[in-house]
Amino acid sequence: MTDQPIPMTPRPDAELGRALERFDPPGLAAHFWQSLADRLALESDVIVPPERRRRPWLRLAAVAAAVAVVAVLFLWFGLPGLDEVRVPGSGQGPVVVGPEPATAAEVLASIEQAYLNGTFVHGTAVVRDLVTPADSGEWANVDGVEMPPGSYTERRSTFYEAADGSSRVNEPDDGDGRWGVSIYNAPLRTSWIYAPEWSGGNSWAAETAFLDTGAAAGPPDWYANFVGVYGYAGFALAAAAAPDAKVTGALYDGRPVWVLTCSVHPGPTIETGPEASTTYRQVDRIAITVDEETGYPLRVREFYKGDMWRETRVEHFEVLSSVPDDLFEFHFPKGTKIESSDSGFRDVDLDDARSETGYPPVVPTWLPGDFALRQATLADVSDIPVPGEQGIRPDYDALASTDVLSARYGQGFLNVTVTTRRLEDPETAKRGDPFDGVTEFYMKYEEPPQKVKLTGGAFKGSTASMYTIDLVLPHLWLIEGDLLVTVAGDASAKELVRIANSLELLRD
Amino acid sequence: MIATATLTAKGSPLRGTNATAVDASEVDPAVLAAARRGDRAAFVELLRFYERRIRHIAWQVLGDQQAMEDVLQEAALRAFRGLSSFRGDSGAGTWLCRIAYTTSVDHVRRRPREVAAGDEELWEAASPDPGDSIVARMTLDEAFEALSGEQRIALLLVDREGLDYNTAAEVVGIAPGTLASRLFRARQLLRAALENDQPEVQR
Repeated sequence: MTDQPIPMTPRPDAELGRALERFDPPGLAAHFWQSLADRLALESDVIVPPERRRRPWLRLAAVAAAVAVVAVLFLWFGLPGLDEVRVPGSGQGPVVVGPEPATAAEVLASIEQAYLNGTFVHGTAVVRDLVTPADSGEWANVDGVEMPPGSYTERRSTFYEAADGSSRVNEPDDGDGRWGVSIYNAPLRTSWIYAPEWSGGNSWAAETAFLDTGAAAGPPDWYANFVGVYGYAGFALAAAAAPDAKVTGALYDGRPVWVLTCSVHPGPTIETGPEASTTYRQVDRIAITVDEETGYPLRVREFYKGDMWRETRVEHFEVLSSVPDDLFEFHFPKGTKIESSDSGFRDVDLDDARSETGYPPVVPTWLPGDFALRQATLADVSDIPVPGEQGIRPDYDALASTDVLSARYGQGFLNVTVTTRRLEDPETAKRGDPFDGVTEFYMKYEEPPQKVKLTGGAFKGSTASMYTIDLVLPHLWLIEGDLLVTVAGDASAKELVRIANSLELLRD
Repeated sequence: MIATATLTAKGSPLRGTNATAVDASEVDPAVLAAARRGDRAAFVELLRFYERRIRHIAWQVLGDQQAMEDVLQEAALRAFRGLSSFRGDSGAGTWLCRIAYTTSVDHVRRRPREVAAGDEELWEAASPDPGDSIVARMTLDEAFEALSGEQRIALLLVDREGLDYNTAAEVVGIAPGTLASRLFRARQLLRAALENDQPEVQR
């Protein structure tokens, strides 16, 4: 073998790609397309879903590492019999203990209180996905296993999440010898993913070891290599904020809970993870189970046409006041081949940032609640990452920028990030949304952004663009000259605008 | 279970950061919109746009031209029937590739036993971590042959077709980290073999 190191590039290996030309497939036979056209002619017409209408933003939803948002128009929708759904594995199903023990507003206040004052949460996350509806008659192949209609895949992991944005997810060995761990340390702005080599049955997985350093303080720049499982519970805030949300009392896993139910209309498509088999499903109803004692969501169920397509539930939930010092750190085993990357951000004092960026830092003079500065980072050069979306957005290159300042403010599990950067090509950048595709977690929206004329602060008179609809991270941005300013995170539309109107230049 | 499997992936440290290395072309939105309205001609145009990529996928899974064409016809019909559920959250190309991949894999699974047995190596790591001495003797053809089907697909999607890790992982239906580990091993083997294929340098 060559003595030269093997390139471990996180991008297409062009040279190897050219060498692979010899393995290209043969072309299609001449009659292929005509044959296909003939078969298509025999197909029934496509049933086109109704056009989505613009839905006013009702309330932000966010949690944990500053993401998870649902902002659709929730309409009241009763779910008769929903509480009769048993909780697999919990030993008992939710039992209705009384009608509407709280209003949706009270539940929302309880959830917000939990997120604002939380420190650490811990539990076992269970994610179940419907393979195909029971009445579809369609079996599906999942990782080589034929699964009947109506069955669910199930994944379990234990997790810790900290209010500062740190996360740890352990995938325990459930008997097949496979395990793994993923950690994001927010103060260190470092991620680790590790899973040992595994071989069993008909499959094999190589050792996985990734180290990502130099993360930004927050989005849209790179700030973590994953969102913790618990972040998914951000649905709860949106559901609770729905004016027509219905609340019933129940017991879940032995704990008194509120069950929030509401419809999502028209049903958005939920993108929640890397499993393509569940990428395109729709949701028309959501049920959220909220722990009465702590205010944290313990269970989220998504329904479409009566079928529960996904259940995310937390078992053995705990709120912790402290965790071991080294919980959010990891040391790879000796000899591990580590694939590493550096996003290029370093800690900076905002008061000193001007000397490095050449422009004065932009800081908010108003923030929700008791939000305070948590982290400020600076990168000389940065591309806003667009995982999974490069093929969709031709303007990707337009966001190449320099002197990027990213500052995160927050309280409890809630965070807002303000960034500024110099664009290399501001004119092209104006045609796109810097947050488009920033995370796979969020839905790709099709509506144009809301335009907001700022009435105060350093950018008074400027027009900002804002998205707070659908399943996107609420965000606002504006371009002045070659400067791109973004505000994003756990804030409602009203709060985002108020923050933007309060932005001032930090003078020496 | 791999560590990233239950994570809500926000990407990975392996994100595709090299935009120039990625095929950024997407089908004309008007064509996609027409296809979604049920326009069969537009749908065929949509397929033609991504034909090379889906053909690659089917070929690597099936390794047989007739089977490839049969599967692509079946995948096309599946896609046409599924247009109503496609909402554009991922690119149309990713969506079509995913359908081509799952249809191809289904086809392999349903083959008669005597044929399937011969293809098992497609889905198993024939030589997941060959020793240096073996690698040193491999040509590129041999090394490619030695890859598992899963590794070949990962290599093809990323290095030949220019997809980023997350999109490629979405096509195959696995976590980005899993895709990356497959790709790493495949590149390791192919890179070494590529060196062997180079003319010897005169000292």
